[in-house]
Amino acid sequence: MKSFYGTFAVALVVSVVFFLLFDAGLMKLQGLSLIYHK
Amino acid sequence: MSFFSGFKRLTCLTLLLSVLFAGGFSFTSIPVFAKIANAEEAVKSEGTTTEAVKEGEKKAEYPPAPKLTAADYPQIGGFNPRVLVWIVAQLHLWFAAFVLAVPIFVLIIEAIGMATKDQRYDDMAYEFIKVSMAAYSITAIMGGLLTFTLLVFYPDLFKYMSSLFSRSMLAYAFLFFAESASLYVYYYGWHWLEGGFRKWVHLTIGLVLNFVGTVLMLLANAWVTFSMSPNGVDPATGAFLGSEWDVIHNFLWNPLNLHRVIANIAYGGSIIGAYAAYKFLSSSLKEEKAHYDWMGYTANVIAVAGLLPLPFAGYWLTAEIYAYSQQMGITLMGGAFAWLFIMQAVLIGALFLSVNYYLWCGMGRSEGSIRYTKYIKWIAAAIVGCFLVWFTPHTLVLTNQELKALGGPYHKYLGPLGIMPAKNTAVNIMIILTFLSFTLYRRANKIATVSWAAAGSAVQAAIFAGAIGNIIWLGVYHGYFTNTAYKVAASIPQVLSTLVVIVATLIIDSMMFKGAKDVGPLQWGKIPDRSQYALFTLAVSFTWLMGLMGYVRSGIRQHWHVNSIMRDNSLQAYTPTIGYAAQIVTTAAVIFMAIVIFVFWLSNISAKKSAAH
Amino acid sequence: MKSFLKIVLFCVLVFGGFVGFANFGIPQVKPAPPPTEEKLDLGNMTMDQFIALGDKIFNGKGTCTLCHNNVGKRAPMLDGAAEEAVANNAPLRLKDPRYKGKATTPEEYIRESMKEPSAFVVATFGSDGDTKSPMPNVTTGSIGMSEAEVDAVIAFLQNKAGVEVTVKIPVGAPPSAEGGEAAPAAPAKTPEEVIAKFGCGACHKIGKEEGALGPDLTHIGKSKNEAYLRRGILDPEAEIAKNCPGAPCSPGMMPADFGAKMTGSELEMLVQYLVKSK
Repeated sequence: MKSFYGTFAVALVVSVVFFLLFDAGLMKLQGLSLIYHK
Repeated sequence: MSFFSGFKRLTCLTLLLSVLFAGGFSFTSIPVFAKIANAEEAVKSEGTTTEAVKEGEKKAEYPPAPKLTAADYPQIGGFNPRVLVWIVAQLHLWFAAFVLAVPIFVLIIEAIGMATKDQRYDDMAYEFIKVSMAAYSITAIMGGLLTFTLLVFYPDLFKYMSSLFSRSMLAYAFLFFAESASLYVYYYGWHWLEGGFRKWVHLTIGLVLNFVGTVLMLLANAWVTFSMSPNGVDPATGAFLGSEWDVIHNFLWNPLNLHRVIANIAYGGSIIGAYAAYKFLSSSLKEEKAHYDWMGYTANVIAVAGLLPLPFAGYWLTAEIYAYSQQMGITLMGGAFAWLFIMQAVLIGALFLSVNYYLWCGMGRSEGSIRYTKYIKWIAAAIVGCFLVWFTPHTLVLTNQELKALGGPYHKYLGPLGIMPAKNTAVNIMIILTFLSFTLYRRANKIATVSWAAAGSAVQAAIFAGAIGNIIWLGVYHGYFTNTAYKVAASIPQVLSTLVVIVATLIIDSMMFKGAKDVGPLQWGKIPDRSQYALFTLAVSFTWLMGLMGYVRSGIRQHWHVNSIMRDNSLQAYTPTIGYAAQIVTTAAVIFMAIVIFVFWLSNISAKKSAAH
Repeated sequence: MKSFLKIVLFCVLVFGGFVGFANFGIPQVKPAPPPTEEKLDLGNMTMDQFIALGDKIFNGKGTCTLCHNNVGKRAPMLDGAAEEAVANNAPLRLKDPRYKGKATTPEEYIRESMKEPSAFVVATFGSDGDTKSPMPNVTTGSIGMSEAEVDAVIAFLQNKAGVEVTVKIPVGAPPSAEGGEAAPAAPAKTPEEVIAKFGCGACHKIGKEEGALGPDLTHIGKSKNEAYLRRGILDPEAEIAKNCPGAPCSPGMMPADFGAKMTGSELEMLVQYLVKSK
């Protein structure tokens, strides 16, 4: 059980980072940035 | 080798070759004829290029689109022509969707049967195609009736359309030879073409059947999309510019093609599911119940497989409508038809809840599902929550006093849930949760034997959580704190996050459950009766939804036969209210249901005959 | 058999739920009827009537408010507050370095923006870096406004912004609008044709028309007789009606020369139609 939650926590951090990079890349492909600025 | 078997082999090969030839000829004939048309025009215009013809420097070789008055529309037999054509066209579409979808998954199931050498798959594929046989002739009957009603009641429109699409309409008619030939050989020759090389021949015929059917749909889609986004005609007069490929390949053709292929698969699955559900409820023998339970499950999987990508195909279609004409797009979702999409939301909610409910009921087939039952209520609550967001309208219809009291046409807290970012967020999460239900169902009966199973599940859970969080963040931040460009662009990472979850989970699952042990044999047939009503709800909602969307697609042309090219001046040119449209759709749906019952009954009585033998 | 009937009943109930919700659960929006061809009697219109016509087109046939509204923010607000109104912004845009068009005056700018919208795209409303406008050319395709209608809309927008209306009411554009020969040779055959031919709908609510300057005629037959109606058409100044939309009716608004322009049959058809409009 412990290994499940431990792995989950690490994997969650990794997936959050992955998705942020993923979003940034896809927004850049559309000529925009991740964070909005005029 | 006896003379007879050699003769059979020769006949089979000849048939196959002629089918391939007919299909190939018909398909390649369209651009070839189009090229010939171009060449003829080039010769006629004494060496000037097609571009010059398009610029109108040369007198047009074709007449302009006709300008009609109410007198040009024949009044016959007290029929309301619009309602008649509407109902017939919708019936044709329902049956056509069904008979195009069935060969797709029959082919796949047959292939699975060949790969796994499990005879049950082959038997089920055969049963699917048997159920659909009568539906083919009904599709053709409806198509013929549609052609006749259009000819009789809208002769000038038909003349104009057939002048543009003359060659592809002929190809369409000739293709039915290929369609019928391949279908009949595929079905009647199912047990004749058994074993080894012959089975491969049979599978190839199934492939040809699918190919021909798809081409038929693509051609019909061209006629429909031309009337929405005309191309290849003079925008001022509607005169044909000479290239049939241009009129076929109009702006909305491919978005509709993609949407219809995926939707057909999901729809076909839902109709077969209804068949299986009916047979399950009406049989008392344990083996029969087990068989139809399995069939229903398979049909539901097919419906889910089509349902998951479908919202995105629809979104792309709508985005292309906006790109083609912002007016048309806004009329569709922000103008007269806006409330119709709330109706659509209700139906899609019904679809998602039905497939999920069926999956949860099915968990009872395995003892191993007990470890997952505690999650179901949370998934259910989340899906219902997403549905409520999906369903919330933006602008409220209020009286003047109510407007004053509220301070505007939007609800202070719920209003923001009415715009697209909220909808995209909700639907992506609904899809992920449906996939989660499906994943839990699949692993309910399995015990993983790899050492890293717990870690693998933890990684999967993290991907789910990360993706859902990402989708929510994208929806909230870009939806409400940025501008339109960001708002629309953020829908792409949302969709792709869902795709990442699905792909990653499937990959990890395939590795994690290699060599997995079964908890026990799956108890097919052990499912409550109410689950079958979920399958009926699926089929009924899907049918009604298709009818509603058919109304939208036609209605968005408003008072045009061909958008901005050929005006509709008949007495019924007005765009009806959604209530009226719903009544027509329901009438057609009840007729459809009656015919489907007839089709199922037919396959039933033929089964009795072969059982007696 | 019992389970079959149960299933059929269930399916019918589900259908019933959907059609019931569609009819009673959501508002029944009635889409606008197909637009009809309107013959404008421009020769006899006052500027106020012309502006009113522009208002009617802006909110109706022109479908301008479909996109130019405050809801979806998909197009600039043309008739809004002073700083938004296009008639006020036009001079600034003509000087903008991104301006690609050929107009030199605000009136020309507005006209050009209706026929060649991509000549200048207001920031954030276009694609390809705001060089392409999603707006169609209003004189073609599904909107199909005539030159006169375009001018009427410009007049409306200028008036709304509070600037001087520089547009002239077009004369002679349709040959039928000249002097005394306002009508084509053949007399109209139906009351609806008469109404369209003489432009009654520009001011009056009658038949399918929604004019809002003069009295509503849709039920005029209830309170007025043949003699009154005939006189009202031939000699409008003889008795001015009390109630016009928004304000008391003013003298000199309704054209006084229908007697010279209409044929006897057209007049009688119209009078009988109005008498029957109860």
